[in-house]
Amino acid sequence: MIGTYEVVETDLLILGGGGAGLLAAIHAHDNAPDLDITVVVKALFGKGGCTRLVQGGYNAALDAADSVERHFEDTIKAGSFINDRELAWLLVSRAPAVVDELEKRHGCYFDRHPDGRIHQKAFAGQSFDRTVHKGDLTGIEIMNRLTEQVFKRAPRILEEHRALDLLTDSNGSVCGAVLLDIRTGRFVAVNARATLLATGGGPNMYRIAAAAADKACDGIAIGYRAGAELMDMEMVQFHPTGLIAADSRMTGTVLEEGLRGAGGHLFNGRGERFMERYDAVRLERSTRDVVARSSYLEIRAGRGSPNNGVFIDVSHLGAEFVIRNFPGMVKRCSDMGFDLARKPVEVSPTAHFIMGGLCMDTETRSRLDGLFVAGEDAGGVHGANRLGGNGVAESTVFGCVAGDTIPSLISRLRKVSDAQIEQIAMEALAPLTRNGGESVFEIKAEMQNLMWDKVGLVRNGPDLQAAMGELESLTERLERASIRSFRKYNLEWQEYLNLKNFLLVSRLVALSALAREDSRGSHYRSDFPGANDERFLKNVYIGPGQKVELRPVRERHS
Amino acid sequence: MRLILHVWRQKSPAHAGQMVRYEHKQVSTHMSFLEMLDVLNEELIAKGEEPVAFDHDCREGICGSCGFMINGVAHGPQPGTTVCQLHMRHFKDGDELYLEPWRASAFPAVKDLVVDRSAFDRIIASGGFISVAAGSPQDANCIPVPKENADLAMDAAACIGCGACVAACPNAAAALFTGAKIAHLGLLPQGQPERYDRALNMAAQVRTEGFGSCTNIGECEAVCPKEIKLEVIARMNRDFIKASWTQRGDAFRNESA
Ligand SMILES: Cc1cc2nc3c(=O)[nH]c(=O)nc-3n(C[C@H](O)[C@H](O)[C@H](O)COP(=O)(O)OP(=O)(O)OC[C@H]3O[C@@H](n4cnc5c(N)ncnc54)[C@H](O)[C@@H]3O)c2cc1C
Ligand code: FES
Repeated sequence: MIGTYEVVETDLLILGGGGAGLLAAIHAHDNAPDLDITVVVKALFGKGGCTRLVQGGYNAALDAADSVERHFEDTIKAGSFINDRELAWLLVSRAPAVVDELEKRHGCYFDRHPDGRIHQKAFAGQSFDRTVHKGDLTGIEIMNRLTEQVFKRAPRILEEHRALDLLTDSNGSVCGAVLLDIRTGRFVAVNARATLLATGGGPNMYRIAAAAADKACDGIAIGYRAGAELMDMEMVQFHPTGLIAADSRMTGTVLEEGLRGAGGHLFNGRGERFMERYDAVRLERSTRDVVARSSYLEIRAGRGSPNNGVFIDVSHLGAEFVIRNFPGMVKRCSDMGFDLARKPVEVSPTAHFIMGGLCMDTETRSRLDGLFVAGEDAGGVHGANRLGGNGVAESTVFGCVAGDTIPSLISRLRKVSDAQIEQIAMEALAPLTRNGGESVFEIKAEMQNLMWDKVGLVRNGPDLQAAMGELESLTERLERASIRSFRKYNLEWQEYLNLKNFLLVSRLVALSALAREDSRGSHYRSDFPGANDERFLKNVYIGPGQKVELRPVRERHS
Repeated sequence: MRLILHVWRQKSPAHAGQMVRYEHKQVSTHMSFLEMLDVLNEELIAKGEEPVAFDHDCREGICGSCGFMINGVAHGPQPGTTVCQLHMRHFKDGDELYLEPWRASAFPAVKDLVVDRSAFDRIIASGGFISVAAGSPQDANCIPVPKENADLAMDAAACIGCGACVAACPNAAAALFTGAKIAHLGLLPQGQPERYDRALNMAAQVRTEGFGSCTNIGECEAVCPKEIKLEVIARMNRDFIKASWTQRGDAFRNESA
């Protein structure tokens, strides 16, 4: 019933082609030119993922007056001191060399001062202006140039193929993955000596979310199902200013932080500058988590704007100033019919990034033999909160690390079992063979509302408990859902497969959030509103069988 | 508002395609064009019909995944705007819209509004990159570039590879796309060493892929969502001509030696 499937043998299987996946491919090839590399992307090659969406920029200590130590301090302070220190140090210490590499070896070109030096701008939460950028199109530049470099090295590229699950041998070692070719609906089994997960997380299980449409927490779900350990899953970052437009579903697309940085004001539905009540000193320039939560509380208390948001107003800065400094944002708003330069615009907090993910060491090894991880799929680097500008730094730095270490750590090819391949394929096909059941779109909408209301910006014990139960029943409903049984480019089927992963990861987020009985970084519990360092200056780990454990933060040895 | 949509439906490359008429009654002016199609698709699924396939990802106008013809215009009526950024308030109640995929022999059909644009990937693979011997890492600030060149390169680098330029061109040429790559890399110091080989190799690949030749009509510039200028084509042609002459010169010298 699953039909014939192709079996591909490869040395290195890379799942995902954002900053992390592409740089891993480039580095692995350059370190070991004979290595057979396969890169799999769910969307179009070079186009999918969030690395492209990076507008703000890339943090790296380049200036003589700045230092990696300062960047490190800023990073762990933002992370409320639960970052894995080894990983955070690797991030900041390697970032300058990666920026240099992006320019010299890959042809990126970042904005310059008139004298030719790289221009670095200010970003929230940083003690130095260290954000490298190319206008507000930094991500396009990085992705275009890396894509070119990958084409030049000519690995096997499978686009519009989605990884369904990992293949493991009898010892639990990972030996490849089963993919679904979205265009043909056929399965492909990849038998690999090493597998890298780089699918970029993506908290799109929330009603208002900003991640690229192809992302569905696939890597985290896939890794977890294969037995990998996860950490900090309760840490989901909400960006404070996602654009909203009445009954449009374009909701959530991010208006950059620089608007607040430049002096933008936030007002609630009654015209009050509500940040005065939450952070009287920093006001709108407070950190992402505080501003996002404050807006949320205003909306919840019924003081929101007509479309359940708040207003951002930059008009007092002068239209000319706004147009000159934020052309991309002005265009984005005007596309939707708003005049950012002259009038307040409605915004809402929007789910943006998952700090949690698979545990890894400084060589990008997960806890499973044969499985590596890099980018947003990995946990530990950012702790409880990510600094703006550290996301693309993470994906590119750890992509390089993965590509440098994997060739020397790669093991022999282990045989995959046909039975396992068929089981994964059968499971994916199940909804196509069922009748009755409800629409996946209904289940999705319910999940998104539930996550927003109960596992979102402000959480509490009873709500989280309730959410766990509701997520379980949504999962059962999904298991009964049926889908029209054609295979080629079946969008509803893709939605089903996304939902399966969203629901699993949502449960893990709620579970982890229940375990953390304090408030820290992006995780806020109204029943435990302060940080409790004695009990919770720790990381929450989730192992197989949903076993939750708190362990001390890893210190820096290097 | 209410719209009449005529959408190109084609099950697969092996099937013949045709325009199918849909009446869409639930269009809000706040929606983007793709959202309007999402709603249509949910209705089709609810009725047990196959949804309309179209490529999309970022929905922010920066990934280059989306794109189709609306009433014969690539990406529709708003200049400098991809279909994902196009909003329904630009249309009015009762409008009749014809949606068709990019049509070019170098872009074979996949399904409905989706075509295979991997020809672009192969053009890049033929030379659209820089190669620099990996040396010892230096300070990234060491590549000073005059700001003027940097700005020009930046405009050319804005290309998202959507394919609208090919779809709009009566010759189905890929000149704006290829020109943007060549102009961009040729303006940067990192791109100098292979500048002329790049122009020759990419031009050869463009021919292999079956794109037409550019006759300077300019339709491409008019539909480019990133507003890339025809100037990049002139730059490409200059590099190409220079490269061809050098090559001929080399051949001549070799022969006479
Ligand atoms: C709107 C927005 C703006 C941002 N701005 C900034 C910024 O200014 N600065 C900053 O530092 N960070 C920013 N970030 C965060 C940053 O984008 C991410 O941290 C980073 O790009 C993640 O890189 P990645 O390589 O891990 O994943 P991505 O770049 O997201 O790539 C994921 C890849 O995996 C593929 N994939 C997904 N699922 C599967 C599957 N099942 N099978 C196969 N392939 C799959 C996708 O197609 C894609 O190719 C922003 C994020 C968003 C959403
Ligand atoms: S969907 Fe990315 S440009 Fe339109």
